[in-house]
Amino acid sequence: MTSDRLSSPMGLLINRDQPLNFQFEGQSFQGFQGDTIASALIANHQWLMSRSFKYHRPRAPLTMAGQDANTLIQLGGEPNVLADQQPLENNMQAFGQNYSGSLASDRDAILEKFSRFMPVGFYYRSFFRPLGVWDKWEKIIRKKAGLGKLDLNFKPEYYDKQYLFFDVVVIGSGPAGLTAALTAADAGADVLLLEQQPLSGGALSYHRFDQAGEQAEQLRTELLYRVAQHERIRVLTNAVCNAWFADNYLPVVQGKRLFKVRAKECIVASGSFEQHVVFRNNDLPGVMMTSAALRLMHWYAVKPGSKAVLLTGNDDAYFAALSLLEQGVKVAAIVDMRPESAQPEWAENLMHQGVQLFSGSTVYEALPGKNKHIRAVDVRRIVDKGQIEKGQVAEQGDIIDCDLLCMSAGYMPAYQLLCQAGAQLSYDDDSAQFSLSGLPQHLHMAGSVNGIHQLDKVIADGARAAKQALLQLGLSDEQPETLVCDQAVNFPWPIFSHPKGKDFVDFDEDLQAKDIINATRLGYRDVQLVKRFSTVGMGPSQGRNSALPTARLVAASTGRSVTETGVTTARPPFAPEKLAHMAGRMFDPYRRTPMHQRHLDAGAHMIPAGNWRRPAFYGAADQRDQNIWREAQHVRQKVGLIDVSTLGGIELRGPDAAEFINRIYTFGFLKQPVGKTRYAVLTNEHGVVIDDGVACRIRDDHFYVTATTSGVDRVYRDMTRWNAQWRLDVDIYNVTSAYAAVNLAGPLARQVLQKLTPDLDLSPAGFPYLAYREGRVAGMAARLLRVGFVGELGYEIHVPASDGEALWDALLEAGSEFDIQPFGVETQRLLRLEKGHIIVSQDTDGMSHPGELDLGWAVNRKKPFFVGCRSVDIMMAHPLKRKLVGFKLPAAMPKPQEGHLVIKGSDVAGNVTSCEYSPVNNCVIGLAYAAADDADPGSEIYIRVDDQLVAAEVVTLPFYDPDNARQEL
Amino acid sequence: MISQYDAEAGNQVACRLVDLSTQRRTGLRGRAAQSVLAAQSFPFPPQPNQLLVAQQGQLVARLGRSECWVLDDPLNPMLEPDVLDQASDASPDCYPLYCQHSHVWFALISDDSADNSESSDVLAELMAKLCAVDLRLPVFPPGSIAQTSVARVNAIVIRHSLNQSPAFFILSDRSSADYLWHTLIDAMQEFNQVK
Repeated sequence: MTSDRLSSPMGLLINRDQPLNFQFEGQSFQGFQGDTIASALIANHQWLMSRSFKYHRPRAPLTMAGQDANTLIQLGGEPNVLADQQPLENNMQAFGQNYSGSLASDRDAILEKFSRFMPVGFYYRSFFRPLGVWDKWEKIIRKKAGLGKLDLNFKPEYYDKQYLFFDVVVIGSGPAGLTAALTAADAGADVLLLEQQPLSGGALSYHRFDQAGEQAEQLRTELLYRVAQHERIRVLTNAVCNAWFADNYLPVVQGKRLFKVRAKECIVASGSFEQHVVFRNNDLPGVMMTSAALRLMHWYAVKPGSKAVLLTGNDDAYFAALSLLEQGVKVAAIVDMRPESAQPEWAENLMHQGVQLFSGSTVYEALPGKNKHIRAVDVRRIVDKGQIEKGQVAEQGDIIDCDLLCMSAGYMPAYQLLCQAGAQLSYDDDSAQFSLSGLPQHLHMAGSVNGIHQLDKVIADGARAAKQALLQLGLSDEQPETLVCDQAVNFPWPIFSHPKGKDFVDFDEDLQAKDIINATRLGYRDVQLVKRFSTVGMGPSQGRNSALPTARLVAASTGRSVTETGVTTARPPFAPEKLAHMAGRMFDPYRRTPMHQRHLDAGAHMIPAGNWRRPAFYGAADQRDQNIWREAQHVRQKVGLIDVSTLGGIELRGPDAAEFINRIYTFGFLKQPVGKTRYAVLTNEHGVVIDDGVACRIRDDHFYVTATTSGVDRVYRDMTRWNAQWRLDVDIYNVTSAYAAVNLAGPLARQVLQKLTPDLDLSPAGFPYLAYREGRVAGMAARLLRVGFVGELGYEIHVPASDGEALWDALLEAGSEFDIQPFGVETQRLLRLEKGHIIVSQDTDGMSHPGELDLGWAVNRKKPFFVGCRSVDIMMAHPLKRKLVGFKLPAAMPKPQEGHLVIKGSDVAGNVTSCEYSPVNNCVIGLAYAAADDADPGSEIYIRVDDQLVAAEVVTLPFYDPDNARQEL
Repeated sequence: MISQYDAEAGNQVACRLVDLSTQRRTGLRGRAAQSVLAAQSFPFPPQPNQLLVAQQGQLVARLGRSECWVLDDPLNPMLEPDVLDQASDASPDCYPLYCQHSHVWFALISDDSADNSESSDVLAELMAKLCAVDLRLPVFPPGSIAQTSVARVNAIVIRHSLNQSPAFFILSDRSSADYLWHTLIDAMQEFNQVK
């Protein structure tokens, strides 16, 4: 199908030289670049775009501004796309959604026939009895209520975030916003101007403000030119400010980017939402807001109908009628709900052009044609609030043929962001006008959201708000004066219930006037409860169209004023946003040791260890156990090399270094000799073991302490925090990344190292177990620690990180004659398990104190203080409830996994923390928390492995080399 | 070998990422840091998070009340870190910092000197994709330092110049170098697309 368009200057957004082809419901259409899918469809006379949520009623655009759910469509694999916001692209394929059969002939439309059996709160009231029945109904209801289809095979797309910083952010680029931005920028402020629509100008881009219809476009052109020329103003169109957070932190969604905007001053010039009139069949295709019809013409050059009726509660319809007439739309009538027009001369003018005028009247019912589009309206006289002339109810009123009905009951301020900031929304029941008050500092409002509707005053209000902001910024000392506008725009009761219903308050959720009233009669008097019970305002438009009529109905039904009733809370986000916007481009930092490439070259199977990537073992991943056993055997029999650069490293330097470390760790360190290492256990204030490492005394006033890979940041943070209190003269320096480190372990380790350290005495006496030395290894300045973590003769060698790769190469080369092999962290875990060494955070949890871990020997109970000493004393004075024990199982038994439960009777006594098959012991070994009375060697503990209980024998630790002969070689 | 990545907009190089990690740098802190620096003829910036250029072209970045890092002039390298390290070692109230080994040094450089203006601050806009600190020229002029997070990695960001081109120096934990390098390149590529 081809489209016909109005001639220029209509069609501000479209490029007539760029036709685009697309399909909707399998039918081919043509539009123009700049069209939305909805505007292009209407240009092709395709109004029906969706089916309503509950009754599957045919729906078409209501606002043409993305403020209703009537245009939700399926676009490719993406459901719930707003057709009146989605820019048209070539070869797009779109479909309606939420129908059975076809969009035009939806089988589920039969549900409407049963609407009287689906009253408000239907789901809550119908499906909770008998118990469990919901489980059956849920599947059926979800299938029927589903909106669109997800593409489960979708490919992730590139979404991004960006920070923006501005002196002033203006939300909304209507006349108030444009003026505010220009005023602020002229005074020297950097301004960000946000516009939700694709073009700036707000109402100036479609609304008519004078008889001649020239003022708006002239003003818009002038303001936009000045904005475009201004180097201090940045404009983002198609950008939605989706929330207001404290201190003007504003999330702004534009396309696939989430801007996180910081504004010193924020001016909300978000305008107001035109409100609909509640009458029977007010949802028919062809019934739309007056502003929507004007947008269709001015933005997209689309003629919204051939014969129109305008239903109004203010003056807007009179100028809109002129615009429609100019574009060749016959205006059959203006139905003014007010007793008389505020401007009789306008009415007279229109009557001269053949427009009928009905004052003090309303459309009582819209009548559908065969094509589901509106074909006529039934106009009745209003005799009282929401009442038509008695005796006429069953009769027919004035039937006026039309294919377009424009509604304008008034305006509701776009208050959402302001209320999120704490503003109070008030309603004057006499004048039916809204006002907002109580804005926080640095937040301002301007224009119609501030209750100002006359164009000259709107502009003045924009300037006023900007001056307020400038005052706060110190860029002006002018105290602006408050403006008042007395233009009434809201008709006080645009609700005309019909005995047959279908007089919709909320189009998203198919809620009629009687639904809201019935909710109050069921006891839900509070508007928030009405919302939750009826789901009013919970659809995609979030109450933009329904909040005001709901508040009015609740107020009337409960004998209160709208001010007393209030409106429902406006929470972020303002408009639907995708999880992709929240996730954005993923920042997932990873860390590599200096020897990373060497591990890859050697065929390592890399695993994450916190942010680090570490070799688990070397060799094929599916040969895990064999590789680990092979590497472990090699370390036990010859010599192995492991990269331990991920170990934390902290330097403590200064006169109080010894005193500091003595207060931090449980052991005594004041008398630790220079050149010696000492095991260091760290407890927190609760006496729980949170880290461990080795403290090397380099000089009297200089310690080098290692910490666990995952714990070093916390240790460093705790150290600096404690010393902020203690004020000791010590410098605390996290050197984790400054050093690369390896552990050279195995009976041949000394021979390998000796080749590279001619100036170091590596003899057992010259460099004994637990000693610390400094020297050169292969010419590199190195710190060396005699350690025994894996239970063999071992040297931890720490060199500047820049030398890490060279150290690795040198040791492998020197060790080649001894058949040196690298080993991974999984192998190290097995080796240290055989030796009975714990790994803090793997073998400990948030309650493990030194007594449970058999670490009493590492706690100096005589020194006056260490962090957690009081708690450790208390806990160790109490009988143990559980204890970390070693256990073993025959190799043929099912191997427990870490985390498997230790069962005692009907209770859980603990859990397995480490478990592996040990080649040197030829059995399964492990560590587990067991009940204290099961902790003695020879006891049995029962571990639940999958569905069976496995009995394991508690044994004395370590499993390997109990005399420590090998590590002290 | 210095690594380099050029992000091109059309045929024009918009900005470059250069790895200066092989350039020399050192640091010291402690009560005597200022006097140790002065003895070596290095200036001491009056406030933390400020950068001064030494007479010989080295950059002295003050990161705290008593902490300074000295970065060599990449175009005219002549810093001898050992001298400074030994001097600080010899002073009881001054401690050397091993930033040569702990941190990598990247430079994000705009090739258009006109970019370094309030109206066209390409580098700041690019960094805004990665960093929550306002790095625009008016609030973060040359010589400013931010100790912050860049793409969730701790980093020291310095606004300076290289060969008269506007630049951000980014010093970050060396273990995250590969991650940060590729994250910056990713940001550069997309930046050019949106530009």
